[in-house]
Amino acid sequence: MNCEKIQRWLASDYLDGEIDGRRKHMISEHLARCSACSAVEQELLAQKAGFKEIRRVQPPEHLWKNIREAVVNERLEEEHARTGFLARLKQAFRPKLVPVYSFAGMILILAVAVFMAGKTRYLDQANGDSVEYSLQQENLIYDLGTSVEEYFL
Amino acid sequence: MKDIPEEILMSAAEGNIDAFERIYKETSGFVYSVSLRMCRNQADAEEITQDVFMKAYRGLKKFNRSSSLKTWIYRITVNTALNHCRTTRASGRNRVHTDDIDSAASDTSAVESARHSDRGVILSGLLEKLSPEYRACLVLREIEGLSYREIAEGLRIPVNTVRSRLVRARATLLREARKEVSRDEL
Repeated sequence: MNCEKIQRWLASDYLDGEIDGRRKHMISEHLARCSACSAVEQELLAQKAGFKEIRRVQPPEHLWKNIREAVVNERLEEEHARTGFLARLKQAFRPKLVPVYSFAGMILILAVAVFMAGKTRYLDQANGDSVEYSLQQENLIYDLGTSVEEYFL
Repeated sequence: MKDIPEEILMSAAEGNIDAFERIYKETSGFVYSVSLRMCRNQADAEEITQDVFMKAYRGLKKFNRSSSLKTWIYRITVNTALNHCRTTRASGRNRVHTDDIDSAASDTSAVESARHSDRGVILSGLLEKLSPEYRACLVLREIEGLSYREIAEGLRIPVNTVRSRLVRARATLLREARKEVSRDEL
């Protein structure tokens, strides 16, 4: 294994303890013979030790207060948007339904009236003593008798 | 981070603020720390942390437990921090306050300050030389102690990519550290 590959392993798995036993042994043997790679190893170990001195920093106290406030405000806005939407939906339909209903009612009454008028005329025609059936084709008029029974008889 | 019971997660997902506070207490340490190391100043770190927890609050209902809560929150943190870094760079803002970070990190006593040696301060400053993606891998590995697999899951990249980014990041830091030493010697 050449120095370039060794130094790659040094700067990754070897340094981070992620290397398998066989490879670790091979690298250790190389380091024992190679001063350049050994120097790189020392620099990397010093760098790693330096990182241990960088401590984790705790967040300031006010941060949770800000986050909590933002979360509560967001929930209130969601609630408002939901109830506001329902209210707006109701508002949108309620006033417009009155003229719609009135118009629909008028149409209905008219339809019933027309239907009843048509039915009445049919009944009058069916119950009358003299019923005239006539075919009118241009100026020719055929008088077909005074009742259906007389016609067939 | 202690394991958060399932009922706390479910309760927080339903909007229970006290349950969400429990999640915040367990995770805010690493969220803020990673944010600070990524963006290098306290104001941005606070902004990123707040963004992360708002996203976590909104996303809890859809969190499907395919990864651990810790990995999920790390992912949100790094992505939010990376986006923030890109936006900051694009706008030309570069609020680098090394002193802010290290004074925040060290305790107030003089003894503690002395123990917080130059090496950590220098290294902390050198992190800024790295691209945000490389910095993310190194911070998660060296400061947060995540394994390669956890980093890969958190960043949604292959393990080999984690490996190569760590190699390049460490090589860059070594190179920059040598330049600093040469400058000091001159």
